[in-house]
Amino acid sequence: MKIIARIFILVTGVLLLAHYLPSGFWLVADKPQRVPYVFYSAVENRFLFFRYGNGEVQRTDAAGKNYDRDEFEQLLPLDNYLQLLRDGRMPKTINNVPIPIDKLRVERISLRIKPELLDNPAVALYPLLEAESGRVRLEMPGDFFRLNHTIEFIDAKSNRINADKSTKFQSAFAATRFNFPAKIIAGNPSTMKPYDEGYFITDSQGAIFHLRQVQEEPELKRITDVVASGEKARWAALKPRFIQVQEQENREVRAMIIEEDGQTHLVIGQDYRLVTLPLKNYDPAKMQVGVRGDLLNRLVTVSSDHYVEAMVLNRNYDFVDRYTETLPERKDCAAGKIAGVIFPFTLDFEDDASGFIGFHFSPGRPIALTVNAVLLLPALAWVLIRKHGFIKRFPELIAVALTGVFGLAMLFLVPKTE
Amino acid sequence: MSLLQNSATKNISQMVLPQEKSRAGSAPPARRKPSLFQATLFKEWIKLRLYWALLFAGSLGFAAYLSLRLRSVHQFHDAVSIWSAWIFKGYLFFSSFKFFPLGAGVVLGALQFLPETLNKRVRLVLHLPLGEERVISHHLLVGLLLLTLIFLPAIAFFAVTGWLYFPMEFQQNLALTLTPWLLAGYASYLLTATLLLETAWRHRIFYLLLGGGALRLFYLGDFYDTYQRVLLVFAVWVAALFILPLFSSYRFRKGIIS
Amino acid sequence: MQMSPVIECRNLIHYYGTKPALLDVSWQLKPGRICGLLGRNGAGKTTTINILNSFLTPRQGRCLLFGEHAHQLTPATKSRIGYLIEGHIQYGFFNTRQIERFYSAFYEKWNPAIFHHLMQKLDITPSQHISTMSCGQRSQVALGLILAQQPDLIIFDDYSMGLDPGYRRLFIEVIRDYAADGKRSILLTSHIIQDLEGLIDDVIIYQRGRVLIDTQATKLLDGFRKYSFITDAVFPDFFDEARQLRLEKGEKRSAIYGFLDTDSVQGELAKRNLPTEDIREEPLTLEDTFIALTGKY
Repeated sequence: MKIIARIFILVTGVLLLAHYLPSGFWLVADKPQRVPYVFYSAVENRFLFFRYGNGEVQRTDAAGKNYDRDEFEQLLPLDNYLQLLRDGRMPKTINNVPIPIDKLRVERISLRIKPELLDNPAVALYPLLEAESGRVRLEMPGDFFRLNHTIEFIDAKSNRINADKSTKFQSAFAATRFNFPAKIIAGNPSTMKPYDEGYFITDSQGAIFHLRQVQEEPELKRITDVVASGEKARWAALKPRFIQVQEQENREVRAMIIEEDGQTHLVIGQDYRLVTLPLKNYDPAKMQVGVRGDLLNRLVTVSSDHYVEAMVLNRNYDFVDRYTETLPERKDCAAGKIAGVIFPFTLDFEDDASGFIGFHFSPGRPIALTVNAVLLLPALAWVLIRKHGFIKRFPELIAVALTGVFGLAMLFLVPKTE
Repeated sequence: MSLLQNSATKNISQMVLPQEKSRAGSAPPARRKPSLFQATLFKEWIKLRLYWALLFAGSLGFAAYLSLRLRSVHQFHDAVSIWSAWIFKGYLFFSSFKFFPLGAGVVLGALQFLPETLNKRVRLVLHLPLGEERVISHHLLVGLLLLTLIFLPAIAFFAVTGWLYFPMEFQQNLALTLTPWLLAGYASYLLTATLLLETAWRHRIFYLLLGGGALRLFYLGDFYDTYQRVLLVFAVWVAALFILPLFSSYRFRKGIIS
Repeated sequence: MQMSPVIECRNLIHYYGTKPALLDVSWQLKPGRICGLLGRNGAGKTTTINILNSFLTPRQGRCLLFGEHAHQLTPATKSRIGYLIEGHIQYGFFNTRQIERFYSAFYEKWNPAIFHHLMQKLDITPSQHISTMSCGQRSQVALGLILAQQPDLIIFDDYSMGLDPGYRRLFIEVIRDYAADGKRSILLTSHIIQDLEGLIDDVIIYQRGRVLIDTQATKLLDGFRKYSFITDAVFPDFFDEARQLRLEKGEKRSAIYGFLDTDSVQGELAKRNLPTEDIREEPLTLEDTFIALTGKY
């Protein structure tokens, strides 16, 4: 019994130390590094940046030249139109393209997908808003639907199934030959949006559907049924992993689709036109992707804490330009090197890529194993001085050899049995 | 004549109970002996019944309060916003209950083991003709049983309330969110027992830090269902914690004070 | 008749840190005997009792009870041993009926009649809570529980603490009764030595971690004597531990203690060139003997 208890204490202690010691270390040592925020100047067709360091922001370009705020804003009129209009500095044309002031706000779009959206706990119940009620504001419905082997609407107040509504929608699903159960159900369950796109849903065969409620009637389309023939094959070939529905005021981008292999597409316009974003290095689990659009361009950025890629597309989604920058990873900076040597491994329970708690082990540097061996010396000395006996202290010594400083701490702390 | 003698006996070993004497000639009826575990359960129940009742009432009252509060919110506000708040913002009607199991575990462990260990009274228990592991194990099992009985009304209340007001998708959610808190309650009980049965202050502090560091890991994040993937490992760890109080009492028995 | 010892302590050595507590202690308790373990505070009695109770493991040496190591007693052997712990600490939340019911579950030979009889004689009702009882009553409850267990060996660790003379006398009588059949072995420690006189068969006296005396009580009482005398000589008090001889200078009469008789005492006094007159033997109680052997300070 006592051996098992000692090993239990050892393992628990080592794992807790592997979690808390590095956390404490980084609390003290971490110099937060932020990747630059990228802009594209339509005026001069080049990239501009906000660079962060020492608590302040620098406005620079790719050559490293610094700008003051007024100069910078003048180079980015579509991002700073409010200030420029107020100052009377807003240009009427940019590169001979006229800039209608009334369209500036509407044409601004912004969307972003962070890694943890892809893996989050959820309750599989969804509100389907009325898309065309005739009212200015959207209203939440009185029920939620579930979509497993069939579609059912549950009235929230009574907690009972609304049989009529459910039957109505079930017929719609049957009519489109939907194969239950649904795999992805994507929509925005909020009334704080200009209009309602409803839900993009994939069935068990991977086919993609679009569901809305229009004047209390279901509108369910199998997308490959309604797109132009040129697009059919592309839609049919999609293997979606994640879909984010967009409701922007200009009604241009309707959804963003991330496939299982990381390929990313935008769904554009009434015809469900698929636009593939030719990103170089996008890993959905580790990086966030965003699209910022204005009257003239679309800026697609992919970033993590040590990498940024910015890609410019024009309004037709043709490629214009790209910028990439890699910064040193945290584990390669000075503090990271020290951590990699002292801590043979680190245990984290939370991860940027997921909303679930998990066991995330990250190894230190290989030289940490040498450090472990070195730490065996004071460990053996301690056992010798205290006359504990090497055989009796065997589990703890193994812990020192395998886990270095964690095992050494436990050697001093585990209560003795003789 | 000495105190213990009566006219019929020479030696106290020959004594029998008065009612047994009147049936002289027939063998005295065998008195039904409780099992060893039942005897410990009996002792702990007599010792703890008042405090246990208070904790039980507290659990019941707290759960009832949270359920009634949901009911009143449900009557005066629209249900959809309650469902939305749960699903999208993680507002759970029972989230205030978070730390109650932990608190109950510590309190019950203290109430159960302080009387045994103050003034080195655990000697009484270790003199019983049982292996020490068995004696302490019985005490722990009784404590775990009483703790479970304290949790049950709350779980029942939440389950019934959930079933009444929310569809089944929420029930799974409720169970998975509640489970880490309950596990933390059992863990805190076993850690409290370990701490109290431990003799050396140095090691008490060690167990306090170890326990605190471990228990914090049961409360990461504010959203529902986040422990789904690690629940089994956490549960196994809590079950394995059973061995720690046995370890402490073993050290006590050996007279290891450092 | 079983002659192997009920308790056997062999070469016990123990230190608390660097402070010595027991320095090579060995003794035995034979079956059917009542043995008193005496010693000043700090002499090592409590350490020995803790080893017997298996709450301490000695640095060296061992204690055997019924042939088994004290810290590895089988449950069967444990049920043959009864312990009365210093201070009679018991579960205050029980009442008399409940405490008997609790302990009865653990012992094969449990005889409730003994317990109830004792309680009845002392007017302790079944519904009386232990926590409301006086120290003396609690000691009787503890005693009753032990006797009901019908153990072959009882270890009383300072039963006398907090008891008034009446309860102490009761204790002694009950113990004597219990051991009357000659089949029970008892080990007692107590500070009230006069209680033990006439009760114990054997006596062991500890002095600073060692066994000073280990003999039958009668032999000690008969053999160890005090002779008082008058002398003009001035001499310091001294104690010869090896020979267990003590010399005390008094105002009117001085005294010599030891395993002496009328002949040898003359010789001892002459050896020290002490002119003496009026040598008389004085009576010694067990307590006087103890103090003479272990000192007043």
